[in-house]
Parts: sequence; structure tokens; C-alpha cells
Amino acid sequence: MQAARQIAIVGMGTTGIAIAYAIILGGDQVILHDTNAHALRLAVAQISRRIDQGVRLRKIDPWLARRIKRSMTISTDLASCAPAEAVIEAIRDQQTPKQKLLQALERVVTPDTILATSSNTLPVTRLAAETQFPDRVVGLHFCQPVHALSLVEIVRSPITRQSVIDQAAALVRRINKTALIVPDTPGHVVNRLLQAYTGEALATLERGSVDEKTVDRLMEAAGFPMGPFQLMDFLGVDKTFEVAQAMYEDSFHATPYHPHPRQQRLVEAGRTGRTSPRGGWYLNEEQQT
Amino acid sequence: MRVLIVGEIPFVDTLAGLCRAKNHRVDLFLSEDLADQDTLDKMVRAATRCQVAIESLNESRDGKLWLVEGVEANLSDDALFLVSALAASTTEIASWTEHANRVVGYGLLPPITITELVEFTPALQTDFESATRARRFWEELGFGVVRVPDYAGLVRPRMVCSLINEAVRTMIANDLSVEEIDSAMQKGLNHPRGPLSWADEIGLDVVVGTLDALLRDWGDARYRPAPPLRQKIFAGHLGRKSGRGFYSYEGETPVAL
Repeated sequence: MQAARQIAIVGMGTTGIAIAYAIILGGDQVILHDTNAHALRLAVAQISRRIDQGVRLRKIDPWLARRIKRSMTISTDLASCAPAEAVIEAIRDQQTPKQKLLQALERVVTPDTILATSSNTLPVTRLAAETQFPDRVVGLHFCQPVHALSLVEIVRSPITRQSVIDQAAALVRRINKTALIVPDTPGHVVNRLLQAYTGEALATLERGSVDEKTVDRLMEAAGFPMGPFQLMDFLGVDKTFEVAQAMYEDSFHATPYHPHPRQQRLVEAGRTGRTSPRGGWYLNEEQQT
Repeated sequence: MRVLIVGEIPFVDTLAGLCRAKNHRVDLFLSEDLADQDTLDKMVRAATRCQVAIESLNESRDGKLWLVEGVEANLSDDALFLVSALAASTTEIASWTEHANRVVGYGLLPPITITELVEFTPALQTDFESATRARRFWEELGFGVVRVPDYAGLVRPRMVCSLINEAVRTMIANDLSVEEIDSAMQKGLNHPRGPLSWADEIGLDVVVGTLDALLRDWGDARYRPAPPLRQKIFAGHLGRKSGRGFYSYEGETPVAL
């Protein structure tokens, strides 16, 4: 039997945990890394809970559950990522920390380890350019929520090696997801069309006498799982605003991608969405009572 | 009630079906058949008899103007005129008519049967009685009526046509296929259907008619129709209704082109 492949995931925020869970289910061994030991323990607890839940819902075989729970290795030391065939970073979405991380990773992994970034906003090419072997850097954009959406965009920079793309695509297929190989363009496909949906909704508000609720109601009646304002609250008003800003900058201010001042006002007011105590476009339940 | 329905498929077919289900007597005319003088005469006679006329033609503002003028000039004084506000605002459409006070705008998008809600928008010139009659008419057909501001493209058609336009631009920019774009939207954003297959359903000419109106009214370059959309229209590939658009409908199942 072939030894299980090892995949390292760096950064145990919401995205990192969701990616780790998807990969564990696919049968690969995972190395989970975060500099914060507490965050790591929380991540393992959360992943284990999700596995148990899967067992209760009869989606995961109990025998498999025991095996995959043992397949998690955790470490606060980046050097523990060394045996991985691919490292997926999911740390906070800013250029400098991500670049520093990629450089630190290069010091511990072999030259043919794949370095994948899950960045939503930063061009892979820009991150790759600062590394020693930029041809092994690739983007892996998991659509959120990861457990519900099967699409993973594999972002190819002009210097990414074809074998790296192939391996990334094989990884995506192993975890039963759909790979879409895209060039390194602003927003790629999913974020670009997400932005078209939310951006157009923001523009309709300017017409007056139509409110968020009406727009959401009309779009949901047309079969969309969430109206645009509900969707922004779900993904985070701050996150969608960041994506809009990044697309606007990276497209050299192309007009379809204007961020909207009302997004910024909400972010400034701390109304960042469903998980915020202040709500987002909609007030949350506590505020309504 | 006698209802006259004039415009393009698939809009008019569905509306006719809904009206017949409520026992209205429907006179249905496809705008493309009106080039024939006999058919045009029949339409004019039907217009004089009807209590409600419904127009749905959005492939261009000029085509719409011609049709709206032709229908309205023949309506009896107490007939209500419901116009589709995709390729022009209701207020603009009403300005083309003799009796602007009886013109009331609406917005529907295929597939109409699943959308349940109709967008409803009186013009600035519409009187209260006509607006009330229009609202009641849609409610009796089984629609939830949602009042929206009177601008070309209203809310949903504008959102969907913009999404389609951006999907076409994204396809070109990323060198992807029709299927890749449609499947990415369904698997990556959980959209009910791929934007390009939806465009075929609506009709690429209607999508461009709506975008042209938005571009004209707001001057924002985001509404400039992506060139492949116009190319397909030049070639007569208007979507499902012409057998060919982003997909071919010649066989049993649609095939991406």
C-alpha cells in the first residue's frame, strides 16, 4: 500500500480549518501549523467535532473517523511542515506576512514541495516573485463555505510549472472537489462574478426607494441561494469590501469593480456581518429584540 | 377579460399561459410576425377590443418604440397598458404614447414560472387608478407584486444582465469555455443556473437591449455589452429561441459551443 500523502496547512483561522477538514476527509494526512498553540488546539477540537457530526449523520464511517482523527499532526514549529508534498497557507490576507511566510517555508521544505496560497485578494505572481523557486508557487482558492461548495480555483502564475498545476489538480480531485485552472487575473472567476453580483446590488441602492430587503427578496425568488446583501453579511462585509478594493486596484481602476462607499461606512461602523455583534446590512437577532 | 399580448418569446408564451389559466381571453402576437400586413391588421383589431394590453419586446429601444406606439394608438380609452421596462423606463415608454396615464411598467425574467414575483413600476405620468388596476391584475395572475423604482432594467433584469455581461468578459479574460464558466458559478457560488445558459434562456438580444438601456441612462462603462454578445446577435444566434446561442439546442440536450 502506498503511504498516505502529507499535506501541511499553515494558519488555523476559519479558512485554514475548513481546508484542513476537506483534505482529511479525502484521506491525506495533514500537518496543521499555527504559531499560536491555543488556536491549534481549538482547530483540532473543531475538526474532531465536525468528524463526529459526520459520523452521527452517517456521512462518515466510524472506522474511518478513528483513522482520520489520528492522521492529524499539529505543531507550532514551521519546520514540521518539511515532510509535506504540498503546503497550503491560509494566514491573514496581507502581502507582507504571506511573503515572509513563503520565504520561511522555503528554508524548511525541499525545492519541489508545492507552496500553495489560499489568498482571496493577492495575485499569486506577486507572492511567488519574492521566493527562491517561484515556479512551485500556485494559488488554491477554495470557495466558501468549503464543505458546501465543490469548486477550487487553481491559480497559475506565468511562472508556475505545469507539473505543479497537475499535482494541485490531482490533490483537488482526491478530495472530491472540482478544479478550475485559471490564469492570475484580478478576482479570477468566482470573486469576479461575486463582485459583479454584489457590486450591481450596491449600485441599485443608489436609486432610492429600493432597499436591501427588496433586492434580496427578488434575487432569492429567482433561485439565488442568498440575496446579495445577505450574501455580503454571510461572507463578511469587510471581506467582500477587501475583495472589491483589491480587484479595483489590480485591474487599474477598471469601472465594473468599484468598491462602494456604503460598504466602507459599514466596515468603519464595525457592522461586518452575521458574526458581528453589530450585525451587517441586517441587524442580528439580538439587536432586533 | 380580453388580454392582448405582444412581444417576443419566451416571455409572451408564458404570460399567455398564465392568463389563459385565469380564463382570460388571450390574443397573442409575436412581434416578429407583425411585418406581415395581415397579422398586423389582426393585431390592431385585437388592440381595439382588449381591456388589458401587455407588451414585452426588449431587443432594442427602437423596436420597442415602434411596437408601443402601434399598440397604444389602437387601444380603447379605458384599456390598461402594461409595458416591460427592460429596454427603457416606464416613464420613457409612457412618453411615446397618447394616454401616458394608463401605462404601467413591469419586469419579468425567464423562467417566469419559478420567479413568482413581478416587479411593478408606475411611470411618473401613471394615474392612481391605472396603477391599482395593474397591481390587481398581476396579483390575480398569482404573482407577488414588488414595487421598484422606475429605471430601465428595474432590479432583477439589471442584476442578471450585468452578471451575464461580466460572465462573458470573465470567460474571455481567463480563456475559459462556456461550460467552465457556467459550472464555476454553480459549483463555486451555488447559483441556480449558469449565467450563459440563462442568457440563452432570456435571449441574447434582450440581454443586450437591457444593457444598452442601462449604458444610455447611466453612462457607466460597466454596462457596455461584451463584444461576443453582439457578435452572436449579428449571427442570429440569439439563444434557445433561435436554436443557438452559447449552447446549441439542435439536439436533445444543449451542447456548449
